[in-house]
This record gives sequence, C-alpha cells and structure tokens, in this order.
Amino acid sequence: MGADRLAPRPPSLPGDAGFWTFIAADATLFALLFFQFSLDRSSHVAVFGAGQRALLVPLGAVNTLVLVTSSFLLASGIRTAHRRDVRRATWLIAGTVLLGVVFAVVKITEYWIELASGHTLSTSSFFMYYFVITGIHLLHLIVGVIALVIIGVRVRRGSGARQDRLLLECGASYWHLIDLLWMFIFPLLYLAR
Amino acid sequence: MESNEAKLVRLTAWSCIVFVVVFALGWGVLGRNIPPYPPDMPADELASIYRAHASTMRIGFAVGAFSSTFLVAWAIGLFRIMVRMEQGSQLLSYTQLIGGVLTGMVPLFACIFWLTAAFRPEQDPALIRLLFDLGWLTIDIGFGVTILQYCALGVVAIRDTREKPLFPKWLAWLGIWISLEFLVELIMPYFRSGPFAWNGLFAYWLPFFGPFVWMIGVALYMFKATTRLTEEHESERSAAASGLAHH
Repeated sequence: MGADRLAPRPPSLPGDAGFWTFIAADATLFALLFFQFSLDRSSHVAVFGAGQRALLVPLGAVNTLVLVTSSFLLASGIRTAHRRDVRRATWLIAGTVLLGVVFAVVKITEYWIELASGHTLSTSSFFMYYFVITGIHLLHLIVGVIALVIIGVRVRRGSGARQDRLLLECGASYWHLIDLLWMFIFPLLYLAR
Repeated sequence: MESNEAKLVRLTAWSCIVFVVVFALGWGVLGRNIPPYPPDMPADELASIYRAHASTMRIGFAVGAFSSTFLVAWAIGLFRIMVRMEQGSQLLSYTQLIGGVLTGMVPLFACIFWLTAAFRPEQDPALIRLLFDLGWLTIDIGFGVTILQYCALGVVAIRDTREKPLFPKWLAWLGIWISLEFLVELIMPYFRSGPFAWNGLFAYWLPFFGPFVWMIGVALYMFKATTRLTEEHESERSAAASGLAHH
C-alpha cells in the first residue's frame, strides 16, 4: 500500500493552476447564460424592454459600487499579506467580507421588492433570466464570503505557510471573478437597451 | 498496487467507458433521448411516438438500465485508487464509492420508468406522459449523490502530495465544477420550455455531456494511475527485499 508512503504534510487545498480550470469553466457557464439571454432578447424585444424598466437600477448601481470597492480592498489585502502585515491584511479581508454581506442584503431586498410587485421566475422570459442569472451569481458570492471568512481566519493566525498564501490567492481570484461577472450582469440586465 | 488488483482496476476503467458508450446508445439513440422530447409536447403526440417506436425503445431503455452496472463497477475501481491517495481517514474515498454506487441507481430507475411507458404504449396517453415525466424528473433531480462522488474525488486528487499527482488537478477541479453545475437542475421543474427546461442547454446539454466527457478523462487517467501504483509497489518490495538482505 502506498497510502502513507510520502512525507506527511497537513492536508489543504493548494491554489494552483488547476483552480483556473474551475474559473474558466465557471466563466464559460456565465458566457453561455449571457449568450442565451441576448439571443432571446433579440426575438422578444418588447418583453425584455418592459422587464428591464421594472428593475431597480439604483440598487444595481449601489451593488456595482460595493463590489468594485470590495475587490479593491481584497487586492490591497493580498499585497499587505505578502508583506506579512497580518493585522492590516485581516482588516482588509474583513472589510471585503462585510461588503459581500452588504451586496447580498441589497440583492435580497431587491428580490423582495420585485416579488412583492408580482415579478417572479415565471412572469416573463426576462424575469426568468433576471432571477436565474443574478441568483446563480448570488450563490457564487455567498460561497465567496464563506471562503474569505475561512481564509481571513488563516491569515490572522499568520503562519505564512505556502498553502495559506495559495489559498488567499485562489480566494481572491474567485472573488475577482464574482466582481467581473457582475460587471457584465449589471449593464446587460439593467442598462442595455 | 499488486498486479492482480491492477488488472481488475483497469477493467473498471474500461467499465466507465463502456457505461458512457452503452448508456448513450441505449438511453440516447435507441431510447430517442438525444435530443429529448420537450416537456411541453402534447400527450397524444408523445404517445404516438412511443407507439411507433415501442420495440426499439424497449431494447434501448432495458440496455440503458443495465448499463448502470458498469457505472457502479467504475466507482469501485476508483475507490481502490483513491485509498492510495487519501491520507489518514479514508472518509472521502468511501464518500466517492457510496456516491458513485448510488449514482448508478439514477439512470437505472429513470430508464425503468421510460421502459414502463414503452411496455404498454397502447394505454392512455396521459399515463405515457406521466411515466415519461417521471423518468426525466428522476434522472435530472437525482444529482445530489453524484455531487458527493465528483467532489470527493476532486478533493482527494487536489490533495495528492505526489510530485506528479495521479490525477491532474485541472481534471479534479473540472469534476467539482461539473457536479456543482448540476444544481441548475433545481430550477428545471419551473420550466416546460427554454434553456432551463429538461431539453435546454443548462439542464440537458451541459449536465449530461459534460460528465460523459469528464468520466472518459478520469478513466484514461485511471489506466496511467494503475501503472504508476504497480511500479510504486514493485519498487517498495525490492527496497524491502534489499533491506532484509542487509540484516
């Protein structure tokens, strides 16, 4: 048996090139969603236009600002963590987590208002895409927030281990993907005429 | 890995490829599920298709149901490789094994439901459609155990500490992603048409053909892994033998 053949190393998910396959596959899923959305919009212009006018653009704009700021904080957090300034890095990651929570609260409020005014998954094909695309995005964000909490705790312990650094970089790549996707979702769903 | 076991594990890798081919032929081609009939098809139209093609569909679904045996065998062989990768408790190896065995039950039951529809195609079209719906809902909503299987393999493969891992990390991450994409099926029951319906891009083409391609990739790396594990075993044995000679 070769199971315990190798030198023991604490098990952990190293962030390496393999993780980028996940990012690429995920980005492809969203690209296909955007493609289907655009395809359907071109054949149902009136339905999509009416749906879009019912969306709350200011809330979407606030969330755009929230995510861009969170990405900025996290990028600074990584630089700080690389300099081994554990205290500052922990605060920057905590700030990113807080902004992630703000995004989720705003988004759920938005769903609440839309549902209260009678717009559901089955109202029209526009609202189907709206709820599905933003819903999948929100699920990604919730997973990202949980991942950042775990990463933040590890950074605070400050072991400086290679795995911790890789994990932080993986988490940040994933978070920037979430931000990037929203940069497509917001104009496509809320703004594009 | 001893050479006798390596032979059997290689057989299970072949079994994975056999599953993909036989299932696609039975369920897909003979069972007429590539592409699937849409959920909004009128019952009369659906029943007339089942009547016209009852005999080929019966063979197709019976073979499709049987093909699940090969899927189960694959999970067992993969388990034997994983126990040599996972350190400490073998919880994730067992998770993969049980998730994989239960995944075999999903196409098994779905094909039996469609087979039941094709068994008496002369009956009330509403009953044909009921069984047809039941088959699709079973195969689409039964993905939870498959998430366990793919993610357990993914995590163990990512944690493999070998200089060159037995399974490439991209394949491990791809499996995790494919299994999480199954979650889109949770909204499938809301739709009878469009990209999220059971014949749409996100509930059919991605979650069916993604795993088929990925599984063949896993099977190919299983062949390589058994060769390497056999070599590891041989070199350990010769090292132990020379150690004995010293004493």
